[in-house]
Formats: sequence, C-alpha cells, structure tokens
Amino acid sequence: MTRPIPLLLAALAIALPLSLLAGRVWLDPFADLPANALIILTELRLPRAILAVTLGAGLGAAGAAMQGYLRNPLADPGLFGIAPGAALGAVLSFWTGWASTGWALPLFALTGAAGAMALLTLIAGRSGSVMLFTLAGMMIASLAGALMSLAISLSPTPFALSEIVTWLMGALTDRSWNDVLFAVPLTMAGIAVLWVAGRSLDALSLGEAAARSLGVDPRRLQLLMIAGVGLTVGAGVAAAGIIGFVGLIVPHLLRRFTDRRPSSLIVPSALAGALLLLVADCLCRVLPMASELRLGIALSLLGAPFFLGLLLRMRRGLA
Amino acid sequence: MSLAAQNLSLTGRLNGVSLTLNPGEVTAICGPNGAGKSSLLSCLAGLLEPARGALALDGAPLNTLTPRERARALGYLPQQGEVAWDLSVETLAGLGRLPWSAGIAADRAAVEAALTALDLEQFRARPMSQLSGGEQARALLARVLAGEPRWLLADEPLANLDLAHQLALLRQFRTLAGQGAGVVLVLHDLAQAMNHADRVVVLDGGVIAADGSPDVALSEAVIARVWKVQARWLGDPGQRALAT
Repeated sequence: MTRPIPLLLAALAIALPLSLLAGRVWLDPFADLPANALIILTELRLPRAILAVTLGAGLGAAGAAMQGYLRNPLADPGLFGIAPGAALGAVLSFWTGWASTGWALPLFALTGAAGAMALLTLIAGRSGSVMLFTLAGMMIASLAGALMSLAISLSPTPFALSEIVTWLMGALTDRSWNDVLFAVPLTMAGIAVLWVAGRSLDALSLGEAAARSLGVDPRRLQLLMIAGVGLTVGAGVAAAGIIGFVGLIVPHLLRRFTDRRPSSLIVPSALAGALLLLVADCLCRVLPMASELRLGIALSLLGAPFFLGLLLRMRRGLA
Repeated sequence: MSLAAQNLSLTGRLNGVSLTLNPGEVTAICGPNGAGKSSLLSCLAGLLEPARGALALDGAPLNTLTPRERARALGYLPQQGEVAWDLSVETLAGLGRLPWSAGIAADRAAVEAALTALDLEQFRARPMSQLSGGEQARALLARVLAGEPRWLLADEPLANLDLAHQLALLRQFRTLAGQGAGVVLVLHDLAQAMNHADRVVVLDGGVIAADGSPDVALSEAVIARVWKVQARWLGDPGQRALAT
C-alpha cells in the first residue's frame, strides 16, 4: 500500500541537494567554488528548491484528493476555480501596480483564492452534492478567467501587461525566502487537511449514497476539500503562478503502485509532485535557451501529450 | 431491538408509512415501479430525511445518532454497485470498516470473516474489474458485512444476477438473519420474496398496501389489486412460482 513512499523519499533526498548545484552557474562541490557560491546557494537556489518541493507536494496531494472526490482520473485541482481565483487576485495586484510592494502579490492572490473558496461554499450550499459543487467550481473558473482577460485587455501600461503575461506562465525564477515563508505553512496545512479527508474519500469510491451510509458527512467532506485544495493551490498560485498538469499526471502515474484507495494515494502523490516540480525546475534552469524556460510552460508541454495519451488509452478501453 | 418508522412521509414518494421491523427476520419490500420502495429503504438507512414522521432504532430517534454510530448499526447496499477505482476485493471489503476505530486486528478479522462468509477468499487480491457479475455482487455485499452491521438494508440485491447467484445470496441473507441481524431487501421478484422472506411489506403509491407473512401480503388478491395482474401461485410452500 505504501510501497512508493520510501522510494520517493529516497529519490527526493538525492534530487534535492543535486538541484542546488544545477543552474546557469554550475556548482561543483569537488572543485573550487566561485566567490558568490554561498549567496547563490542560500539566497537563490535553496528557497527555490524548497518552493518547488512544497508547491509540487501541494499540487500532487490536491490532485490525488480531487480525483478521489470527483471519482475521476481526469480531475485536476484547477477544476474548482480556486487556481483561476488566485490568478485573478495576482493579476489585479499587477493591474493596480501594487505587485511590486512587499507582500501585495501573494496577499492579492491568496485573497482571490479565498474569494473562490467562499463562493464555492456559498453556491454549493448545504447539499454536499459533488455534481453541484463541480459545476459551481467550473462557473467560478470561467468567471475568474473572463475577469482576468478583461484586466489584461484593459491593462494600464504595456509594462503591467507584460508582467501579467509573464507571471501567468508560472515560474520559480527569482523567488525569495519571503515566498517560502507564506507558501510552506499554507501548503503543509492544506496537505494535512486533505489527508484528514482521506477516509471519507475512500468511502466516496462507492458512490455518494454508500459513502453516507458509511458515516461520511458530505458537507464536512466538501468543506475539507475546499480548505485543502484552497490552501495548497492558493499558496501555489500565489508563489509561482499557474502550474498545471502536476495534479493530473502525478496521481495517475502512482495509482497503480498503491491499493488504489484515494487515501493511500495522497502522500505518495505529494512526494512525487515535489520530485516532479523539483526536477522540472532544474531542467528549466539548465536548458540552453536565451532566457529561462518558464516552469508552467514546461509542465504543460509535458502534460498535454500525457493527457492525450490518457484519453487515447481510455478510448481503447471503451472501444 | 427494532427499526421502526412512524407515519413516514416524503413529498411525492411516501405517504404516512408506519412499520416496525424485527431483527432475526428477512423482510422483503415489494411493489410496482415508483411505489416508494427505494425511498423507504433510504429513509430506514438514515440517508433520506423524511418530510414528516420519525424513525427509531431500538427506541432512540435515528437522527440523534452520530453518522458513525448509525453506520455501525445499519449496513446499506445500494442498487448501483459502483466502485470508482479498480479496488481489490480485500480492499473493497476493508472500506466496510471505515465507521469503526477498533484497531487493525479487529478490522482484519471482520474483513476475513466477511470474505469467508461469501466464499471470496480465493479472490481477495483480485481487482473488481476481473470478477464476474456474481462475484462482484458478493464482493460488494462483503463490504457491507465487514462493517458487522446489526441491520442489512439492500436495494434490489438480486438484480442482474443469474439464478444460482440469486439463491446463493438469498442463503446468505437467511444465515445473517439466523445470526440475529435484521435483513431488509427491496425485491422485484415476487417469487423470491414469497419463498425466502419471513415478512413482506407491499408498497403502492407511497402507502403500505399489505404487510405480513408472504402468504398474506403477496396473496393473489393483493397482486391483482397492486400490480393489476391476474396471477396464480403454483407449487408448494417454499418453492412457489407465479403463473400469469
């Protein structure tokens, strides 16, 4: 059941220190280090690696929980509209010009995520119905997307426009300890909430009626999902912009190595998400390109063909 | 020790249904389509809140129990036996232990007992997708039994099963009742209800049309009145067949 966990932990233990060495300036521990090596390590690479691990873990866990909640292997944390909500908040911080002042950007993004979470809670109401909840999430995602486009089209300056577009692509470039400071506790809290929801998600594998007959309170489960996905995805978007596909790919790849209960997939997905984002971010750093490849783009380039493969396999299964 | 409904009403589905179910009995709920059978079962399982009326388990109002207390007492087998992920039989049965926090050893013993009772030991590691329809139905029932409920409420558990599997499941229900559990089944097949139930409750248009021993509640007169079908019972008691 927990077979992948030790393996993934070992892989992370190897990849994390290695990731600190990779980048435009390669740090060779067996050769003379450049004078600014310490600064590169502590101020640039370490916060970046910690963020990659944290956000990857959050996205992986949220993806596993979402697929369990919607009982669908194609579900993604973005479906609840929380990521677009957070992105809208961030876009507004650029739009108003406050993004450059201290904590404004993450605060705006987290407020956007919280707004989406509150709307979801209000719309889904007391029913606890998964379908109603999903439709509400899709509506919020579409509304936030439209408002984002509006903000972009009415962008006050070309500079703000370029900042918004670049930020939306998702990246961990130039992130600092400030980002670590808010993203790590929020994401960890979110993963803990999703872990608590695990048993109820297991019961939901049998359908809503059977889950309720097993003592699951659908309303409580819904609130746990809003809080868990909201915290992980909201913190992720606030720190790094939109990073897609991690939450889709990772649980899907790992499911076969677990007993397939949603609860036994959450922790391995968190670990694998952390590993995937860490490795992908390293690759973005070291690829010989004029400017660094944006992490969000890299993962979409990886994720889209994967998604297509998944669909084709499902089609074969249906044929 | 009873499961009782008092003047149960649910808009458009049930209208003043009162009955007291006894443990150790197999009770069949029968009736034409849309009579309110599944609604009644869902109310009895605590899954549907009635618009009016009250439900009680051992004299205590059902809605005063916590969801987990209710889940430990009442096992519910839905009509649609869906399982979202391709779980193994053993993992599926283990889900029945979710309302309990009795420790790993007790959970394992209960799952083991359920698998043995349904003759599923050899399939324990097999994913649901690799089982036949009959084996899947047994695995889904094993999930309920692993929860060691005092009441088993099953919505059309024999649908889509061949005759041999229907009889095997009915024998299982009889064994459970023999062990003191209350068994309530929604059944469409009137002959199965006649031959295998201790008591039959016939619903029609959301009200109880007949309630009693199978001979009484499923008499030819009741069938004519409720199902609008002229039918005749053939054969000996316990092996009756319905001729139309």
